[in-house]
Amino acid sequence: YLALIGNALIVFGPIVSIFNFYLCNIPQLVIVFVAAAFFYLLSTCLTSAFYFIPGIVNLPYLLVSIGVSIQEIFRFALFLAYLFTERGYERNLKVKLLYGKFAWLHASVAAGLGFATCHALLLNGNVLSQSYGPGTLYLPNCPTITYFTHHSITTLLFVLLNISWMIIGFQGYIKKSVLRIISLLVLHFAASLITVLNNKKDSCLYVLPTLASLVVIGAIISTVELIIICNKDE
Amino acid sequence: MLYKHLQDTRSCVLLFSETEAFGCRGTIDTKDQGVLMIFNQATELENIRNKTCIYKDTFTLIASSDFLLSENGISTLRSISNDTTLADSIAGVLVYTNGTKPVHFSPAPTYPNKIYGLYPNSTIHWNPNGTNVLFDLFDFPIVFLNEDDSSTALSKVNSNLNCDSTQETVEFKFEMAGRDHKNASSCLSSGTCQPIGGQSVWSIMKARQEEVADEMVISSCKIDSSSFVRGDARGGSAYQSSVVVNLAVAEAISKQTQKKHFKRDLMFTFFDAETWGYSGSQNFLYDLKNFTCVVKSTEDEDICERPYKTSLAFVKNIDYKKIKYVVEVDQIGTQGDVNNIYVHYDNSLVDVNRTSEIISALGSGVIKSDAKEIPPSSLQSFHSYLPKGSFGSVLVADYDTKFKNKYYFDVNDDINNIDVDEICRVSSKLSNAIYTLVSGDTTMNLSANCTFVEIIVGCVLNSSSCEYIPNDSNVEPNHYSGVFSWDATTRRTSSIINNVMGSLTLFGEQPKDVVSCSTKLDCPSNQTCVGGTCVKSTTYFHDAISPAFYFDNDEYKWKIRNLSEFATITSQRPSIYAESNWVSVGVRSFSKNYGYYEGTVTFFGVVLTVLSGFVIAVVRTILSRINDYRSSSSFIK
Repeated sequence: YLALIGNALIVFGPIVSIFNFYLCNIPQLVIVFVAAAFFYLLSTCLTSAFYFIPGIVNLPYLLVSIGVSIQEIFRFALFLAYLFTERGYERNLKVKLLYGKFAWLHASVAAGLGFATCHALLLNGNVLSQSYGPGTLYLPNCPTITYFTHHSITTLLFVLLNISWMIIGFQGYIKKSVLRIISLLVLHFAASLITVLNNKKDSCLYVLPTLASLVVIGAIISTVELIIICNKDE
Repeated sequence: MLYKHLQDTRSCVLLFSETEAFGCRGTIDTKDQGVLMIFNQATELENIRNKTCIYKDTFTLIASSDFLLSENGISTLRSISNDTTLADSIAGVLVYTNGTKPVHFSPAPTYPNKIYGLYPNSTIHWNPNGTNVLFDLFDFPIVFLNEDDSSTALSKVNSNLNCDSTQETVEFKFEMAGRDHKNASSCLSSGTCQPIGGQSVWSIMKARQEEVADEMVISSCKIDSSSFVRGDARGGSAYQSSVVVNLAVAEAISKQTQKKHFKRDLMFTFFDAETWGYSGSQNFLYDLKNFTCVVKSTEDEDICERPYKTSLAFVKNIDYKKIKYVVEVDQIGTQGDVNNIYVHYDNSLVDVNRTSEIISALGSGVIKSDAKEIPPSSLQSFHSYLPKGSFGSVLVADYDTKFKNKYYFDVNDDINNIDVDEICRVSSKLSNAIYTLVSGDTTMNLSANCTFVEIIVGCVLNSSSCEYIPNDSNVEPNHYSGVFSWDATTRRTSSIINNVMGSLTLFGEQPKDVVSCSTKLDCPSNQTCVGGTCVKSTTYFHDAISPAFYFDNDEYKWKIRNLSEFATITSQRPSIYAESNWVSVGVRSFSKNYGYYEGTVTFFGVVLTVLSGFVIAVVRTILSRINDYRSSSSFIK
């Protein structure tokens, strides 16, 4: 069972840490987290409907692009839902939903974590359960680490990416910044499409580093957003 | 694929005799998986142990059937089993087939059932190729692979030899409930095993309906076999050839029953579980001499509730004192250069005149065996239960002083090991002999129906479906009797015989309404179930379980009688054999990491979790210094 524990910690350890040390004391953020997870689930359900189209599974690039597009639509829908809720809250209760300069940042982190958690559960839940037991599996696309570890690392990278994408997305939608929205789309498409190459031999030698690079890029952009917020008057 | 479950595996199981356990003891949790290592010589074992890359000290050995099922292989297996340290390192043994057939091999003893027969001190080796490995005890499972899995397993062995990053491992789920017991008595009392037994079949063609004739002729044979792997009991020459002959004789004579007035009753007996100390014949003869129904069924007078018997026809139709001629058919038509028919009898036991009558009826072309004793056979039960010199008896076989069969109780004793034409020839000869004995007519020249012979050979030795079994499916022929059950449908061989003989021994007016049935219990009182339909027939099942066992209805378990009870009844020692209950049987192979890999991944996961917590705490601190980040109360005014 060590493999199960190790791989689960790789994926869910950071999620639990962020939730525990960042979100769980703030009920509003917990609600945003849950709502975001639900929105992600809806986007996945809608994407899965496209699998019924005959032959589409043989066009992975098209399928991934459809999935990414739907996720982005739901990200925007989530933003609108949050905006609507925030304004309704202020209008009716005469108080703000969240206070402080970083209110939108906290909301976007919570939403990003919600997306990431649901993504991790759907992507990795089944794989993790199979890692329980004495057997392991090595695939040609990554012969040096097990399939389960490879999957966990990929999921972890997507967890971090989802958080940074949500930060970029929310800032882009608030400020109506085309540049930010395009960056988000480019990052998201790049990260998702590169995973299509996972069926090639030794592909993890370039897929994982590419994803890690995108995580770094996303982190840099998020940090820049944070700095911009810091410098902005409340 | 993560786990590959090896399909169609055949494995040896755990059995018990009166004094010991034998077979394969199965797995325990701490030793049920091992790194796959090939061994085709005894010297390779030490090399395997010395491999420094193998961290776990349990192995799964894989060997070819060529090597393992040879004297050298058996000897190596025994030496592993006797070396406790080495045996503790073995999770199990896989045996792969490379398609070649040994020149000869037999897992049975050189004298099967010797201690349960008339000659416990005999020095004859009827089965010279016998290795007795059937009765060895191994502390690990031994599993035979099919051809596909054989090549898969061999490919996985190579990575282990090279000490690659993963260990190719095989796990056995082979739980024998009786593992901790040492003999049949102990495991029966714990309820973790069941007595071995089956269902014999007997049929009677009466000289006169509703009367028992003054004398009876019996044509007998054994119907079960065994093998190192119980599911591989093909039983070609031993003993399906004798079943075919006996059925062919019955078929030939049945056509004459209406035309000629017999002077003697004729009974055909097909004894099951004879491999296990002549359980079938012993039970039959014990019941003929001693049975008393304590509690009859109120619903069907033909059934006894205590002790439980599904039919009491043997009480009404058979008087053991009137058994005057017994002809047993043994192995017939075994492939070989020469086809001879030998007759075996023991002058010191038989009624010499009647025995001469039998031999005379057999006519020319039979050779008297040089052996002074009768071979291991049901005849030994007849001679031990019935008064000495009270009947004539002959065993007919294709061997003289040692079996012609090179694969006695081996998987290679299959349809290719018999000569069907020879079986038909002997069937014709025996048909005439039996007919002469029952009718006194020496002029009739009966021929066996060779087409019928071929059909029956196909039924008992081919994996295709049999027309004598309703809704039959393709099954690999297996004639191991298994654990005892009152339900005769669990014994395919017995069911085939019952359906054939049942159709040959119909009598009187058959019921107008067709009643479907699975067993006799589904039929009205005076009817039996033949081919799925209730009919009036003189064919019946009889329990083939050692008379040493009895079922305790109060405690609802099998028990062993006090064997001293038998001293006054028979000179034969009753056998005690039981089979352990299985909890599960399965084999799967998978790749396994060395222990350090999983520890490393877990360590990495823990570090990541702690690190992310630390980073979040740092970020929170920075944000709170930059702005007014505080506890949740600050967000709500």
